[in-house]
Amino acid sequence: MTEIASTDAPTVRLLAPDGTTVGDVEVGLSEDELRGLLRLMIRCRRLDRECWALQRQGELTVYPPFEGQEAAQVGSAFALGPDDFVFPSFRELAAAVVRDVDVVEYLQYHRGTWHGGPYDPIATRFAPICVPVATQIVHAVGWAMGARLDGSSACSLAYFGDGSASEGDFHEGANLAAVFRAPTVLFCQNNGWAISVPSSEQFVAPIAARAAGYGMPGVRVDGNDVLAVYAVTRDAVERARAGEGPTLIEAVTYRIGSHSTADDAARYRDEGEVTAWRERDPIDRYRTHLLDVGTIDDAFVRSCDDEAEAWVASVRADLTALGEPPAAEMFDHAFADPPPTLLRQREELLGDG
Amino acid sequence: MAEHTMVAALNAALRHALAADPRTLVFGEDIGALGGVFRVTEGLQAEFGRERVFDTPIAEAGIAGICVGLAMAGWRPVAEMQFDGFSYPALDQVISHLAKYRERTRGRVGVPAVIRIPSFGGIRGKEHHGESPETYYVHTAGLKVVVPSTPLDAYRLLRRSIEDPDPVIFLEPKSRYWFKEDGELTVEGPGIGRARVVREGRACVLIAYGAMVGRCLEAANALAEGGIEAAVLDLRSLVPLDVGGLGDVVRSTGRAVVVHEAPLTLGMGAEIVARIVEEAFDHLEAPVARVTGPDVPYPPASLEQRYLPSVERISNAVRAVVAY
Amino acid sequence: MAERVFPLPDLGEGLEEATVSAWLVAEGDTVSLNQPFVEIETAKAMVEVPAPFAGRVARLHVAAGETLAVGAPLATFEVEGAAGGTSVTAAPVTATPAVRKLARDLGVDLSMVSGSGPGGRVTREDVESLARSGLAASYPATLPGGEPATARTVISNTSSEEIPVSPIRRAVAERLSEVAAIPQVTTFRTVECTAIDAVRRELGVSPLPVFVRALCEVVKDHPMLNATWTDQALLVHDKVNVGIATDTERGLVVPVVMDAGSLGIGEIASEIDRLARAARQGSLKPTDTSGETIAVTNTGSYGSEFGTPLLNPGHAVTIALGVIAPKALVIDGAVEARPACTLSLTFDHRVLDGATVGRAFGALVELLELRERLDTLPR
Repeated sequence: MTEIASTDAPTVRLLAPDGTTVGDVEVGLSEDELRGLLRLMIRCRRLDRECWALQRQGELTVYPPFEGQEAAQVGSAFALGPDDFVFPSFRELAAAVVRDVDVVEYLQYHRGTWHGGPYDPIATRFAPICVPVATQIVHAVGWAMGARLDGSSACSLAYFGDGSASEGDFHEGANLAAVFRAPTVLFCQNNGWAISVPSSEQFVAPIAARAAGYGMPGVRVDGNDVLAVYAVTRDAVERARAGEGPTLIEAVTYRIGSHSTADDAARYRDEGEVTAWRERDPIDRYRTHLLDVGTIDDAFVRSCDDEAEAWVASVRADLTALGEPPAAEMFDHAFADPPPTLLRQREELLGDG
Repeated sequence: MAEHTMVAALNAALRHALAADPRTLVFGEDIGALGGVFRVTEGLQAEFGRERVFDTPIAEAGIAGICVGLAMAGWRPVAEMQFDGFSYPALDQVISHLAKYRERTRGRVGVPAVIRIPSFGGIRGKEHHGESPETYYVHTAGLKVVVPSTPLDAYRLLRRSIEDPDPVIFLEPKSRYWFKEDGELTVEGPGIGRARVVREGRACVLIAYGAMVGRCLEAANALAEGGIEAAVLDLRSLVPLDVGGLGDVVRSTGRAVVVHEAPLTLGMGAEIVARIVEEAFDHLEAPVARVTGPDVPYPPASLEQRYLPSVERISNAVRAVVAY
Repeated sequence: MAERVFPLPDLGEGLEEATVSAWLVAEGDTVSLNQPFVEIETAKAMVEVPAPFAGRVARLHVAAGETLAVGAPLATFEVEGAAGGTSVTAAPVTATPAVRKLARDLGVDLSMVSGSGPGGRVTREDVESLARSGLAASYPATLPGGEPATARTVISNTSSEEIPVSPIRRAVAERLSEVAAIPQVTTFRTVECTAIDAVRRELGVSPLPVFVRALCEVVKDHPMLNATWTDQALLVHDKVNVGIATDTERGLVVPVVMDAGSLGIGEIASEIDRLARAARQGSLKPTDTSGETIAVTNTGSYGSEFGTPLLNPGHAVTIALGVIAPKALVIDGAVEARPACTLSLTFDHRVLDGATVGRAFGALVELLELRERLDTLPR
């Protein structure tokens, strides 16, 4: 099996893949919150699989699945406060669920009825879905600079992947964040693959190790250990709030599925590698832990499954009931006030109506 | 009435905008202590502090990208790209985000940023210091693009750009930075989206923007000695384009010559001529001519006056169009 | 041999249809390139169409008298060689958009204008000149927007028959409206015609050529009669090109006797005859109908005594000749019946004032009334 790059680097881990405790799991969460993390991960995985199916049924155009990355997304997003601002890339549906973004609005992006952020980015503190990878890192830094100027204690968190870390915008964003002590968390989900290119062919040193070069802390964390992800993110958020500047987190995880519904991972990677990573499944690991320590019982797990099932059914119903957006909207939002030249084009294309 | 250089007028516009709105930020490379390589931001950091007027690392994509985040946090960023030729690393952020953010968020999040770019040639600069990048921006839906030609108009347009709810690419004609104009600095007058007839004439209209407006006026004055009275239209705003004003003036002259520094192919002239055909076809007494830079990379200093539209080339084009 | 279909071209600008007046060839005939093969009538113009190919006429697609749409097959020719053989299409008219617009507005068919500009380009002056000649041909059949004509005023106690306004009538109406905007004044003088009558009988011509020649003579001393108002300058013309308003079945046309001052009365008479014939046959060339600097209309031929003729745009003077008939004139203090006619002279008040016209008009009448003066005119 292909080993992801530099897995021997120091990595924060609280739960072993079999659910046994290997670190201090007292991360400051209440029992309700600990149960809530599991409920969210179960929900998200169920939603992810439904989205895959919806795409195969023609209800979504293209969909990028996140199975295997639930702990990385849920654990990190869970560490944010209500005023903090998330700048996602395009695979962060689980983080959006944690942030209470309306999932049907979010999925309009993948349904092809609108670009970017069909949801309200300001109200949800969740920026538009961002496909030009790494560009959102700079936005998160800019937002954090603005929050700092305002004297706010809020911070931003940018999600990006191992592939994005090769982009110039990653470097510019990280350096700007460090120079301006921007209250931001640069959260890399290293899921092993940039579409078809493995991490081992993308970079040599661990991504987290780059932090030293920018003059900020860098943390490598087991991205399939939700408690560890939560803990390191919370620490980074606290640093940001304290005015100590940015933190780079590399969450080592794995993309179980293909890059997207348009991709076929079997063309470039061994099934054995996937099987090995399934052994480290973030949900199994955490559920086992919670059952072991008695925070939950089997009935709770069943209730989570049932609740997820019902919720996903309602998402499907609402999503498939969506119509086309009015064509005039193309013209309505290009400018705050469409100039006369644009109004004329609208009229020529659509008539007066 | 005071006399202003364009640099001083731009400096005043930034100063007044910073004073008028505490959410306005000015940043870029070397714009703080140095006051910018052209001194446009001179004294601003001392007056408004290092938090609102700050130097950035050399990171053009970063400069453009933080505009998005700052705008989302409620600030009004006014960023400087040091030179036209150094603005290209920022194109991804400008095209993919600044231009599209309002549309991508279904109208919820606009980016009221201004990106100032000292542009165009004529200053005997090194390579990458004489570029005419306007077409890249004009062709990108969601951006406004303005080019002042005089100090007073530079003041007005920059103030209006900073107030604008949408991203504005503000192209400053470097060769006019030290041109002086008498008058009152005021935001009153034609706004973004309006062209200005800066010289009346019935025989032909010269259509230009930036430094070429002055050169067209020189040509028009020379032509007048030979009995040809050419009008000069200063477009000022490339997006939105004042199609109505353009149509009006061409309908009144029946003859037009478009002048710009940028290379001919798919330069602004291509759009202007197309609009003229749409607006004033039945009034055309002659084919519309273009006097532009050739389709070659911007040349070294010793050749740039051969490259740039000269008074002679402009005058000859007008004579040919009038004699058609 | 290959068959080549020749569709009806747009002989005006924007015409949709035309009528075949007469075929000049029959099926099976051999034609040479540019041999006239059909007469087509469009609006005011009768047009001879030259054969586009040399070869045999294979088929005439419509009968004489039939109307067909532009683009519909008119005739099929069998031509030598493959499809790539000799094919001649009429040279496209070159004109700037502004001139094309002017032509449309004035109802001028550009294909009838021989361009005087570089490379044969039709100029603004070419179009204006043709429009002044009255030979404007095509005119859009409907108003812009296609609104049907409607009565604007309905008189309550009568019922009105609605007669559609024809394109030609509309074109004429628009030109007249344009003309009416010129500040123009008409003045009248009655001429005792004994002398003119004697001269015309001796020469065997109508009074018109005598009058035209006399007018040219007067213009020598009063050049402002032969001038054009423009916003920039008064243009005083060195040649007197006299437009003769001529009624034809297709409407009023104004062919021109060019440089009439250089001609004798007889030459003028035969030129007027030629032009009148051509006008009635519809075979006037563009050069026959452009360039006039002054106009004469013979309203006397309808028995009218005097009138107020309207100027043509670009003219300073138009003169109407009333009927020549015995009138009670005061001769040496006594009333006598003498042949006489009343001249009605309309002038552009921007070009001329009343005193100048008065002197010129007086000189014209004196010349026409005195036999010894008339005898000095070249015959």
